[in-house]
Amino acid sequence: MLTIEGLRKEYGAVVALQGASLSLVPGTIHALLGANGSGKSTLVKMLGGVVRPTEGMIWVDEQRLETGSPAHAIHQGIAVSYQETSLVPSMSVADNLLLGIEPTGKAGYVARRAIRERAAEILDQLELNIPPDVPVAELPTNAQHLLEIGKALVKRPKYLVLDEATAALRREEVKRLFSIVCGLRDEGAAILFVSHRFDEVYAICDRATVLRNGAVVGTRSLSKTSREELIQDMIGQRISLEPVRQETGNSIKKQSLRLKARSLTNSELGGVDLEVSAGEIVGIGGLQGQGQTALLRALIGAILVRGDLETEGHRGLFRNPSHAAESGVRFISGDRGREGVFGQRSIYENIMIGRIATSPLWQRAWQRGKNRAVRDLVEQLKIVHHSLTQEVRGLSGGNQQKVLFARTLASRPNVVILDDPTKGVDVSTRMEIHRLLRSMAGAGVGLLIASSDDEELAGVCDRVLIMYEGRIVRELTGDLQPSHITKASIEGAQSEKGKGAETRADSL
Amino acid sequence: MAFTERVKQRLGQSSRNSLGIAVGVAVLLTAVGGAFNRGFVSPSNLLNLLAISSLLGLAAAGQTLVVLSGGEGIDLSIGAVISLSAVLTSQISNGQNGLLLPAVVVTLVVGVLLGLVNGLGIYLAQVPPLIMTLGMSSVIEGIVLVYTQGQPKGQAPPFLAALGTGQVLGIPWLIIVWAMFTLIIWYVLKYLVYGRLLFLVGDNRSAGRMSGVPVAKLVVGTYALSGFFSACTGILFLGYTNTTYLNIGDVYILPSVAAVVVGGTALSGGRGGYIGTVVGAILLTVLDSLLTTLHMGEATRGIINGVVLLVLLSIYTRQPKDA
Ligand SMILES: Nc1ncnc2c1ncn2[C@@H]1O[C@H](COP(=O)(O)OP(=O)(O)OP(=O)(O)O)[C@@H](O)[C@H]1O
Ligand SMILES: [Mg+2]
Repeated sequence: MLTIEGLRKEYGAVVALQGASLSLVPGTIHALLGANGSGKSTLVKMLGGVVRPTEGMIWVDEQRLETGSPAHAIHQGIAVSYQETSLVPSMSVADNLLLGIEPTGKAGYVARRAIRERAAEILDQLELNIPPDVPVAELPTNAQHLLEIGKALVKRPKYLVLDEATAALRREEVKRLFSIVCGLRDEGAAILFVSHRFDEVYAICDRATVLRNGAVVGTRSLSKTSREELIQDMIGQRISLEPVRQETGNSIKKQSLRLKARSLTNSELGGVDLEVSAGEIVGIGGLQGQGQTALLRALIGAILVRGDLETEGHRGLFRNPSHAAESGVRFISGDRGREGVFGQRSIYENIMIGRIATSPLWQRAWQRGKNRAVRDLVEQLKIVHHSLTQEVRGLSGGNQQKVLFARTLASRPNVVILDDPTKGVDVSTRMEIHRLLRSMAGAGVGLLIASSDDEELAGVCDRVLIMYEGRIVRELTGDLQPSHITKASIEGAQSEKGKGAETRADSL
Repeated sequence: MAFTERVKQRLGQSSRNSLGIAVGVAVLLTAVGGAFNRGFVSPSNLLNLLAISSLLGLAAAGQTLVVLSGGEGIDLSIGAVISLSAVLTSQISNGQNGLLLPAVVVTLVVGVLLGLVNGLGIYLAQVPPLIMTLGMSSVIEGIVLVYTQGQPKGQAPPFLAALGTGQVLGIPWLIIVWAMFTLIIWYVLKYLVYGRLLFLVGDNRSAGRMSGVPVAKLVVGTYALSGFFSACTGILFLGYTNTTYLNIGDVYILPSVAAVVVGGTALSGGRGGYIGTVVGAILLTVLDSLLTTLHMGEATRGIINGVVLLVLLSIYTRQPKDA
């Protein structure tokens, strides 16, 4: 049994966690819930020993855990998969997997063969078909997150902590992870599971502890607790869980075309045609890795592609994302750490860049009055912060995501292309963002959204395009249901295979 | 997160306190100099030290921008461009005031072009900055050798010599010129789109690209600016020494990087600023002068310089354990 007693963490004047207590019981899965910035990751990092608590203790099997020592935590059987991952980008997959626990030979040198074998075993368990000697930096985001999980699993933990491990994963990957995690539980391990997705929490967890503003609100047995009750604990008020689209209705009339793409083709795309009208939200679904990411990137000129493109006031493919931004086509990457935030820079700058990225370089950047706009956005999106000049890396993951969103809003776009826009965002903010997406659409922006979450696509989109092997194979309109999208993704794949379309070896 | 985050946090913390520490150390060194030799703190010597700092400070201006731009940015061709610029200006002007303007224009254009080539090689051809600018350095030195046939001729036109050595109201012109440059660079970094984007792109280049920043223009332009500042330094250096010889700029290569780092700009980019570099240049100049005053040999000076640098950097990166 692992017991946390009165754990407290202060960052200067900021109290990230104010005396949290909970216990992890072997053979159970324990959910840790809370809005963005409520202190979940802070607690997790203290369990892993990478952050030293200001106060409080952790007991592992009646023994006191030496806090602030990752090595000791590992020694006590605690393994953590961190929200922002703890991988070293330049190191190989295998070296990363065994970082900190390399098997050593008699002479103390690292036994590389043994490393490779254990790494392969773990990759196999996760069905990650990547060569163990590839540098981590070259992997797509979801593979990196799987690897982060693998890095925890390889330690054969008694206490496994998963901090939003599923946020970047696709449905099938989540399923695979769950079967591994449940296996561990049945062998007597205790798991702490942090997630913003209630369906996942209800699917595998036994109990849930809810944090609000760094304090524990309570621990409940999930079989006796409804979603609404949990949300009320999380945010202190009741909110409706109705999808946004139903609220605003679907009455936006289609105006002019905002984006029109014809036969986009490259090694990952097999001739994609696409249209996004003003005021329309178009979703891109399908099974994992069917070219969704490539399509988004091709549209903004981030990768090479052939074909034709038309936006307002511009004809032809974009040369690069800056070129696209000049025409009002903005992108939010699904890879927040690498392609999203400027961690060492302030919240203010991170948002203002949306406004000035395409301004002439020799123009004055900061003008009075823009402060106000930034502050309004921060408030509107409820970004939990203590100062606009604070570094963005000090924000919780979900709040960093909101900063990206604020940046895009600040840029006054014509078309917004989003890759997993609510990754790691809590329920109430997710609804808030969906509402914002709708209101952007209402203001005439055309939106294109790829998401691994069919519920999200169904909830917010006007139409959903299903991709398979780099082509759009289905289009769903009308009354969208998550299950229909999932079904179409699978059927789309099957019927295409049935047609005898050449099946490429899964590249990942 | 974990380890890398903590390392980054430590590096990031530095620039906040480092400026204060650098100022403190510079004052301390000056005081120590004064204790050994009263003349060290006489107004005329202090102004002289500032004038010498101004050349290093200008040479390090481009270095600051390049380092800020991230992507392991560094410009080791600064020394060669300075040498070439001094040679070009002296040869073209041939010691005549009347030819100074064309000489300066040609020199500045050449400086910018060389910087552009650096930038293009680094950004488009993906050559690591260290390699690209080091290679550029050799090429330029070769060109200078051929151009001058090993013996640079000419001298500074009187006007330039006056700028390099003269004073106004007792203050060396060099200091005034430097102060103007400092003001402009500070303003550009703080208020213009270029400056603001430089910090952001320096922090995270991919994020800059995806948010629509014209990263190529920005990065290549920054290397061109570095070439421009080196050319300015070379021209003023000619005025300061009045004659020129081969490879006069070499003495600035490493000190320009040191001034940037001592001033609290992170070598990983995205953090710091030119005011820090100004302090860094003064600190290094005072230190060097102090060691000379104490009659230390070149070897000892080198060692002490290095030790001071290491001590400063280790202080900058220190911070309370619990973060
Ligand atoms: N290094 C830091 N410096 C300053 N403040 C911090 C730091 N790390 C976290 N915080 C603050 O502590 C609070 C809790 O953050 P934490 O990351 O634990 O939230 P979280 O519950 O994991 O949120 P999310 O769901 O968005 O991941 C936030 O307000 C955050 O701004
Ligand atoms: Mg978190």
